[in-house]
Amino acid sequence: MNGDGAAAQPALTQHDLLVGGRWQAAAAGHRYRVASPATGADIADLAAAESADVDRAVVAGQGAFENYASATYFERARWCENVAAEIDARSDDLARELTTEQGKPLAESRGEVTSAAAGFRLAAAEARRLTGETVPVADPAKRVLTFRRPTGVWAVITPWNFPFNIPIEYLGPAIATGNAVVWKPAPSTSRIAVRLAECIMAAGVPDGLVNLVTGPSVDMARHLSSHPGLVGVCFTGSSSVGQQIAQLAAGKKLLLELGGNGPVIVLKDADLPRTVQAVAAAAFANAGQSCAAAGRILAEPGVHGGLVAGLADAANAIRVGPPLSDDVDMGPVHNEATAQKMEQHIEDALGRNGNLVAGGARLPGMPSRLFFAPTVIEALPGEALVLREETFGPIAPVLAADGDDALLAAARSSRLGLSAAIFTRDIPRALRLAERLAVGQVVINDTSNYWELHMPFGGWPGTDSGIGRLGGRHALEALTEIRSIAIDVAG
Amino acid sequence: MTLTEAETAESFYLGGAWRRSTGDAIPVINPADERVLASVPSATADEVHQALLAAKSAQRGWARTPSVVRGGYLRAMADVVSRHRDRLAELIVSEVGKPARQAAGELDFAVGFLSYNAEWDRRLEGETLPADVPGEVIQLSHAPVGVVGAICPWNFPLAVLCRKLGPALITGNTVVVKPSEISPLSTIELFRLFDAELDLPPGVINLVTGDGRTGQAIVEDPLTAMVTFTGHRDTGKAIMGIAARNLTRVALELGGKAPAIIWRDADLDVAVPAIVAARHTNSGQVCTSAERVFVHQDLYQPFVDAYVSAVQQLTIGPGARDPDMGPLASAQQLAKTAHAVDVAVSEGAQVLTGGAAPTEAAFSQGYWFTPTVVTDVRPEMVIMREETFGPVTPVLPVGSLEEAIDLANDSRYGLSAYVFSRDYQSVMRAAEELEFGEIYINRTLGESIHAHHAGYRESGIGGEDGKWGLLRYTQVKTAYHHYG
Repeated sequence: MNGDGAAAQPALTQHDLLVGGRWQAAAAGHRYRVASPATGADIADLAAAESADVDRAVVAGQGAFENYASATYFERARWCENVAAEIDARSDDLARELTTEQGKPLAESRGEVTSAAAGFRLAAAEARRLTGETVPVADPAKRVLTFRRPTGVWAVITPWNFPFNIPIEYLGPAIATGNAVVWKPAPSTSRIAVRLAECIMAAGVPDGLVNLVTGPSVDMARHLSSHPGLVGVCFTGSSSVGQQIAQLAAGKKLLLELGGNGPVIVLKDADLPRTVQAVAAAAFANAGQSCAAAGRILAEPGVHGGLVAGLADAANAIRVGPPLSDDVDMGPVHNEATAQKMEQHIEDALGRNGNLVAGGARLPGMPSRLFFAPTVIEALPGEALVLREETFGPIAPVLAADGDDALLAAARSSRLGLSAAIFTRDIPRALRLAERLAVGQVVINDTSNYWELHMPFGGWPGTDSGIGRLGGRHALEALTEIRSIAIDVAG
Repeated sequence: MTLTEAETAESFYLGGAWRRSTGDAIPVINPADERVLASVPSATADEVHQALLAAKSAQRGWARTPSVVRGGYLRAMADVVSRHRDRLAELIVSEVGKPARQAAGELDFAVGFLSYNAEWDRRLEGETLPADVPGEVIQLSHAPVGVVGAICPWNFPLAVLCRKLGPALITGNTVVVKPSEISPLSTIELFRLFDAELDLPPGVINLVTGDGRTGQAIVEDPLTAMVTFTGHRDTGKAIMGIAARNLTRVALELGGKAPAIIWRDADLDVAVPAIVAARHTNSGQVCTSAERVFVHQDLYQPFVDAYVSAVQQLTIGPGARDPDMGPLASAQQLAKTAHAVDVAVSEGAQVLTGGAAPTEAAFSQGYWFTPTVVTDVRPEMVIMREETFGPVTPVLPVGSLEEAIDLANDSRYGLSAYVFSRDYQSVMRAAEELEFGEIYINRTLGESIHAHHAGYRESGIGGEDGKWGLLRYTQVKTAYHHYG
């Protein structure tokens, strides 16, 4: 808490659930509060949904899905473009509210809001290009056509690290393809979710296509994931929750974008200044709370020392402070659990003779207890927690590995397989390594966070990093299904 | 290896039957010893028209045949080529002169073109588009063009033939083929095998032999819906000029003057053998041959030393003995190659090795030329601008990648290019800024059947192979189905 007393507290904003196009209280009347990680002060008072609210939202989604199933993709694309225009018109307010609620610096919030508007426009463009096929068949009397059709009502469950942009990766494609959605955002970033839902309603998206249920109830979330009225579940978040959802949603379509843990591989001939800059960006952007962060940094001996020293300098140069200020590079971590996991991973590493090179603790004198020093740690044994689990905080753990075989063995020791980066001047070697890494994407000579809206993004099968691909047309394909129509034209 | 007089007299195949052509007879010569292998008639315009009529009357029925059945025919054709590979290879060796292993490789390539295109039988998908009004489906389909005239070259007589037959037939077109008058025997033999061993519907494939007059008759005839031609630039231009009268569709795969850029950090152990092969395969008579070599000045002398040494080790001899290099394919090709070297020398070039026909008695008959390397060349010399199509390598030092790319692009041709470097900034910049249709990075020539083969500028229009080459044999047709 900021300790300045009640006089500095802004009034709490009040928000309800969105069901069938109508803002309404939760059936049981429960409410909950959201605090800003930057100050510790409560900022919003929201309806806390229960399972009964989920049931109403699913019914509303089913009705809207049926009513609008025959709308053209062109009409749906216009709805998406209208949402983008609403976001653009409110972008300054949205960015400030995103920073206040999530904790990331204002510049990062502005980028996220801009990206979200672009995401709706991309969904519109992709919908107008969502083609089927004519299939050549052996039977001379048959003509076979295929179409991509919307499938029904989906649960969309989204996290707090990019609470404005990640929902758009599902909501844009869902609206554009004619599916209905029951959206459950992370409880701690539900006010910005309400703001996005307001944009969607203001854009004229038909009532009931997007329904919003907020609240911390785990029972409600389980009820949603297993609801028999849904055709599928989209989820971005942790691997453990993703696995629970997959079990609850057995038999439904799934689009799961879960955790990652690098690796970032630095080969002996890497361009060191460029590598340091890119690895630091991957480790510390959004306070490291990104699934494509530099979770494990594997460096060949020739470059290891220079890399560690460079990362320590980069970490120490990061300006940590209140995220609404202009001269700040990093704000607080989002919540106490993240700060505690940072402490736990650092303590574990030091207990295993790891060497702390920069940071390592919460920063004193800040407006809340969630400001953590950017941390660099090296000389870690393979069993260190920070290497085995996703820390999801501002930490760059570096360990040495020499040669392709040792690098690949270290890379494969993780259960996660989302994003990797390789730094080297020897592109053929990087391409050979990239063929053998069990990850969804490999960035060569830039941050593992490199990402564009239309790039396919997702985890590698057999790892705990997810199922399916987001981005561009891939999400639209996941949310729709092929219907084949065979016409006999004989006689 | 040749065909009998009886086999070549009836070289005109239409509507599933062999006919005797009334046109002039043209001798076919073995380039290794100048002996006449056979005489093949040059079909008249009237005979060409009959062949096109046969193709036209077969086309609708062929298009109606399910693509899976057409694919079955293509697989059977591939099987015929495979089973008679040795005999067809010997014919190619005798009429083109290439080494036996290269002729066998050409037939593997031919089989690949037929079997690859057969695989499109269940995949030649059109599209359904989301409609912008309710209750409507927009259907796009790939309809055949109609009758295709396929005019083939002498350097790869059967590979290029099958490169055209495969996509033309699987998409529902019928074809009239004209092989080069320099190398018609292998094509006649292949048609005889198809006729004897398959039950293709009459008129689906038709054959006329002859020279440019026969080819012109194909292009001029309004029954021809599309001309696909592989060969010389000037012939391609003449075809396009004639085709313009009827707005007949053309696909032209013409010559090249491929640059090879050896960058400062290139691995010479990779680059030297790659360019030796890219310059001397088929005696340099390949449209993708490395015709100009630009070497970073720091690597220039080591490259030249290693390249000359490698070239001097190449063995030369009759194709049947499978040397590294056989003769050139014709007296005209030999004269053209010798002339190119003479002009270069008169313009100030230095011949480091080769430069003339071999002097041994074994080479007294035939169209032989020694592998040749020339230096002290300038970009404006003829040897750096016109396609040589023979075993002559001009080498020029360059100081910057920008200069190399500019010199490479300053060409009438734009088919293929080679880049040798370990640095991906240079590789990708060269690959992106070289205005050439196919770029080989740290490797020698040899395109993949499922990729795409096409040139910028005067190297052609259209392009062959893979999905994009296949689709050139089709007409996209749109149908709006309103059911709202």
